[in-house]
Amino acid sequence: MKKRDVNNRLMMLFTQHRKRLWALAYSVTRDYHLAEDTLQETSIAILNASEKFDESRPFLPWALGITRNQSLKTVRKHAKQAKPMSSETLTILQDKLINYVEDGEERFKALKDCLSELSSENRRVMAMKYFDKKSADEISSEIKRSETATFSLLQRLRFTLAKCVKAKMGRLAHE
Amino acid sequence: MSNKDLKLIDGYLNNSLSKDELQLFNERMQEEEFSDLYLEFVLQEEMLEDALEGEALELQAERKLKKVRQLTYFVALAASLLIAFQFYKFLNPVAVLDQISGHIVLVRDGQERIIAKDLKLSPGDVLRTNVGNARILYSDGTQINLDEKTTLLVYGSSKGKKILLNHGRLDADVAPQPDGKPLILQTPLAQAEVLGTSLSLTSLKGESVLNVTEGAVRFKNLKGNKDVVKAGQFARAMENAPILAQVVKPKIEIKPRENDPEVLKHDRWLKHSFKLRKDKDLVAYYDFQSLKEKGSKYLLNKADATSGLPLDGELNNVLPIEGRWRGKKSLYFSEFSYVDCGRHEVFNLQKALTIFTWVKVKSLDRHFQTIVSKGDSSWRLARFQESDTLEFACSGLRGSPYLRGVKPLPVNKWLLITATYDGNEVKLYRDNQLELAIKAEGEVLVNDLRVLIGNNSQLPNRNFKGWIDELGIMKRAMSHQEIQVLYDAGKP
Repeated sequence: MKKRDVNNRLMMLFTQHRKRLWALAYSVTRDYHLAEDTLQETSIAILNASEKFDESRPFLPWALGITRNQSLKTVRKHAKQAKPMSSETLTILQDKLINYVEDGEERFKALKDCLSELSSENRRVMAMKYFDKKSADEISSEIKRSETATFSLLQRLRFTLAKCVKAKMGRLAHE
Repeated sequence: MSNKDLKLIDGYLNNSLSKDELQLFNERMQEEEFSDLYLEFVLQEEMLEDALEGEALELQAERKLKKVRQLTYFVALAASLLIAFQFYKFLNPVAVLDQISGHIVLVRDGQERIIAKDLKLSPGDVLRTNVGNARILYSDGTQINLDEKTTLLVYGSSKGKKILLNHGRLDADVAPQPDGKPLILQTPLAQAEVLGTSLSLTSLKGESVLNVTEGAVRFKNLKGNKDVVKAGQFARAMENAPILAQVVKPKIEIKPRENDPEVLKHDRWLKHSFKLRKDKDLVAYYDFQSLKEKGSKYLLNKADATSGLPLDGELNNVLPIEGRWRGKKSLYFSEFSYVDCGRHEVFNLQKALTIFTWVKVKSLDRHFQTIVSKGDSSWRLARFQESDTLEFACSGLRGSPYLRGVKPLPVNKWLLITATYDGNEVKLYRDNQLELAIKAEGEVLVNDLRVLIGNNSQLPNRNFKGWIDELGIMKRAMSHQEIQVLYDAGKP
């Protein structure tokens, strides 16, 4: 296969598995922007390593390995980042991501449903955090609450959503 | 699912766990149920941005409206809405494919589909133009035109627009971007940071080429080497070569050979060069003419007296480029560049020596930037500390082993630098003039270190930044008369 065709195939596989690669990058960097940057570096590293890609072997474990290295590199570059999960835990997570059964559409629908069950005010607080990427400090001044109260509110909302999505996914599995 | 478990996961993702809690988190991740919960939680984080898009749009429209109301409450509601909408569009660039011709493929979530006009693009989308063209339009007016046979990946977040050009060519007309949020155009070999300009970027096997027609673009390669490419300039990013902005030259007017001054200069130099390489005292002579624009790995030693010895220089992250005139080759050196000429004993010159070289400085930004050296304990020709003058040092000599130049080094001007030691004096010449001479005697120390052009093998990070074209090392001191001949033959 020509290099260009291999690259096209790699990019297609990259988009197919983007969510899982992001999950690993985010787990190491724990920063939305750094995870996005890491993923960009990963896509380039994958293309640069295309000659090492063995078509007869699955793409995902190979790409997760590259993502892991890139993520750790990112964390090293940003000295302020706290120590990420241990190497053993990272390996567990990689295995989990390889075996994860894709349920993105159902999960997204469940999440949208759960969001609609929140109050309009709380949805907006979540939008400030996850869409506008504002810090708890910035949100607190906008909603006129203390930073601690805002942090607690965001945490409570994340937990509520996680529980709600789990319940909805559980119900779907039994239907 | 307990709140305690969720708090541990949330604490990890928010960097707020203590050392003991982090250990507990690592232990708990070994439990199937907990690690499942962790993964679900992380995937939820990834989905929240998309899931909250509608909410965010309403929120932002409201914010803009509020601002508009505060500022212009007396303006009619219809006008307010229009302003808010335009302002919203400006702050929330959404890319669409608004022009398509031919066969364009979109790969989204691993699925390929043929696409139609006015398609909204999402982060992670791959576009491939086979036999067709397409245009990406952002709401701020930025346009990216894709040529045929081009593949790119669309990124973008609240940090700014990003595009990864895998191969092919794009032309971009970029509207002024917000401060700190340049448009990033990435290829497998380089990155262009654009704040607002017109350009084209081509990604081919082994190189990426940026052409700027308006404004300026910061272009950097994967090593981090960078240059600012201005209107009318281009730069090429290749593996193992620095980035250099170069002026796009007009097509050369072909003249009869006998009337072409560039050809005459070259012939004059070549005649002298052939004579010089026969000098029995010439230890190494690099005329740089064996370099090709791409694919050269070595700088060949052309000294007859040492032919057959392993003195060819190995190229490291240097850019072969036109030298003093058309047809003359040179190397551009930057922060990672050097040429490794090895550590053969012929470079151990104790009793007398000459180093001559044509150089053009781009910038003096590191201490002791080195033109050529045999480590830091024998002979070396370098910038003196952080000054704008040269130093020719010969460790071991009695008197003064250090000859420090007095004239500042000009930037962007070719100079012939010649340094000699004849057993009595150390001299430094600039072009055909003696700059300085001091008394010295004894023998220059020898060592087992590698001779590097553009760096110092004993004290690295002294990389020269600029062009070097022709370099010779001799085991005797050249006379002023010989230097005059060298200068006359090689002056640009």
